Amino acid sequence: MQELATQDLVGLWIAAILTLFIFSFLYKDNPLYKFAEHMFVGVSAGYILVRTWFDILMPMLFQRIWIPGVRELTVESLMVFIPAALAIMMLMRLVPSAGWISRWPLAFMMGVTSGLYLVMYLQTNAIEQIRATMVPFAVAENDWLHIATYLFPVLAVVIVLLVVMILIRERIEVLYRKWNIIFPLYLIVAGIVLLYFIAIHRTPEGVALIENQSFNNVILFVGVVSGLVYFFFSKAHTGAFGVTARIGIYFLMMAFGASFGYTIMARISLLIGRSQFLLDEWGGDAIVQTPVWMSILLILGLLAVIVMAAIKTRHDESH
Amino acid sequence: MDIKRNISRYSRLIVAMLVAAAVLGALGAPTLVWICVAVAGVVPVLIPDRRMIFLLIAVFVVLPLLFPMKLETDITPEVQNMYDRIEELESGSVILMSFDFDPATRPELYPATLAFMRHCVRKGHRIVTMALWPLGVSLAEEAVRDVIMDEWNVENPDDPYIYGRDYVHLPYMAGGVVVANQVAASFEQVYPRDLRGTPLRDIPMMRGITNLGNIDFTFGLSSGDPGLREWIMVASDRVGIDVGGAATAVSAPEFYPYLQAGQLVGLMGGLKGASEYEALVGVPDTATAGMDAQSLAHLAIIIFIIVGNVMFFMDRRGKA
Repeated sequence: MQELATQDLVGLWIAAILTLFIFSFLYKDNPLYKFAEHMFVGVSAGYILVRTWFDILMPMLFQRIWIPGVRELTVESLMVFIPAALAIMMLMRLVPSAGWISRWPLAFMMGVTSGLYLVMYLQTNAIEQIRATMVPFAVAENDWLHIATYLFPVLAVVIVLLVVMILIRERIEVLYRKWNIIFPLYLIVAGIVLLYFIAIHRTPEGVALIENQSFNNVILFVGVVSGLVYFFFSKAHTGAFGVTARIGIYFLMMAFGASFGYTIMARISLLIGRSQFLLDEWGGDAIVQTPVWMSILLILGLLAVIVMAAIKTRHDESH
Repeated sequence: MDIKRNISRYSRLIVAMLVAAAVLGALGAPTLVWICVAVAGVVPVLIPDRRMIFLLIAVFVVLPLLFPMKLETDITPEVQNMYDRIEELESGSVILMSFDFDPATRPELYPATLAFMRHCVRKGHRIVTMALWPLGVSLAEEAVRDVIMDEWNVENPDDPYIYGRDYVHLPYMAGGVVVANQVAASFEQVYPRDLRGTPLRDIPMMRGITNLGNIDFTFGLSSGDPGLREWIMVASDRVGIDVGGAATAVSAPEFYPYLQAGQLVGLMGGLKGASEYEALVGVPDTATAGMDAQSLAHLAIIIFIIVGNVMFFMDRRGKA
């Protein structure tokens, strides 16, 4: 068993008691829970303030800025005045009559962040993601088939173009009246599915097809296209368009289901973390090593908090 | 009495759940599993109070912690890939660990932190820690104390990890993506000094590390924004270095598109991901210990969902 110092013991007891206070909310809202909640918020805010002072304001501002007689005049020491001025302008929000000044640093921050995000966010979340959906429907370990199967995404692009044509059919009304364009679309989709199964089952000798990956890519394509169709609201979700949108809903529901499952896992993990703390750290070491005098003090302190909470509850109820 | 009325109303459901538990027991399922099925399937039916659900979940979390079942954990490809990438790196490679979380998500992300850092230390990689979240700094210090000072340096007194030579702490810096973007150009511009106040140019390890391009692997511990997404944007897509990470289970699904696109080398999703990494490193720790509880609690929740739905349809049919 690890020998614990007095300050560690006190810390463990306080953490355990506050944990139990927070858990008491599961029975019903009460002052003990409120006390722990407010303490958590207060301690966090205090810690962030101290960190910001010592990690940012001190090294980045006060130890760099030009102060006559203390620090020599350089370009860097003068440049620091700009963020310092912006920071002071931000604090003007506290003065109602000069509150408008705080809009300037806010606008500066928004501008910088938007400028950075515009390029990087687009690259990471749009361009790279679109590129990642342009995948072959049949993936092989051999290079030549791998290249050849890029024909499939080309055909997929044709399908997308056809869908777009359907969507803007009002503008190509003449063309649309001449042929019912939906019918050729069905034919092309059926042809692609047929080609896909031929590629999967009739690969030439010596070609090693990665079937799982191939299948995943098909699912990916169907999911992306149908999901996008669902979010296209300029056309009524009826007929072939409606069927595609419905398939999109199923994909979305699966995604939401996965998120929900992960959320449950996260919440249970947090409970496990606190349970491990209560059972192992507090229940295992702290309780055994706590001296009698400290136990008495802790129990008295706990009783005092509970009595105060009860008085406050009664006071609140009477008003 | 609610209990008596519920026994008569849902008698078929209660019998079905007890039979299911008996079948699981006969098939050789661990004792706690079939007890969970029986209790989670029957008790909320008898006493329909939300607090009963809380109590049962608490029981099914605490019991496996006291009496471990040692259920096996499969290794997922995303965790295996990250482990393999760290294995492939030459000893002495530089790993950037960004602690972008706070104590609120510590139970999920701290086990992943320890498992990953343990792996890096065993491989002899050098570590730079930083934080885009203010409370991440103390977690970085705590992880170094647990893995390097109390573990590695005690077990290997002849080959200790030394601050400034093998690892460096960088302080918290506000700005999120702006900080990550600036670090891509220069560490010293953003961090004139380390956490201990030493100028960065005076730290031996940092002499060869001027910007993100000198980092071999970036590992983001993410519980929101700013976090792993920012590192993907900057380190992976802009600078072109490998990025892996650990994310809370809530946010893990958001990162799978990046994995599929190859922008992310690997991902530890929640406590499960951490337990997989612990298994790969070969040091079972708190995440592994928590997996039994996680499995049993999930089983209980599945039972609750099934029982809730059956009760709903039985009630609807009764009203009709």
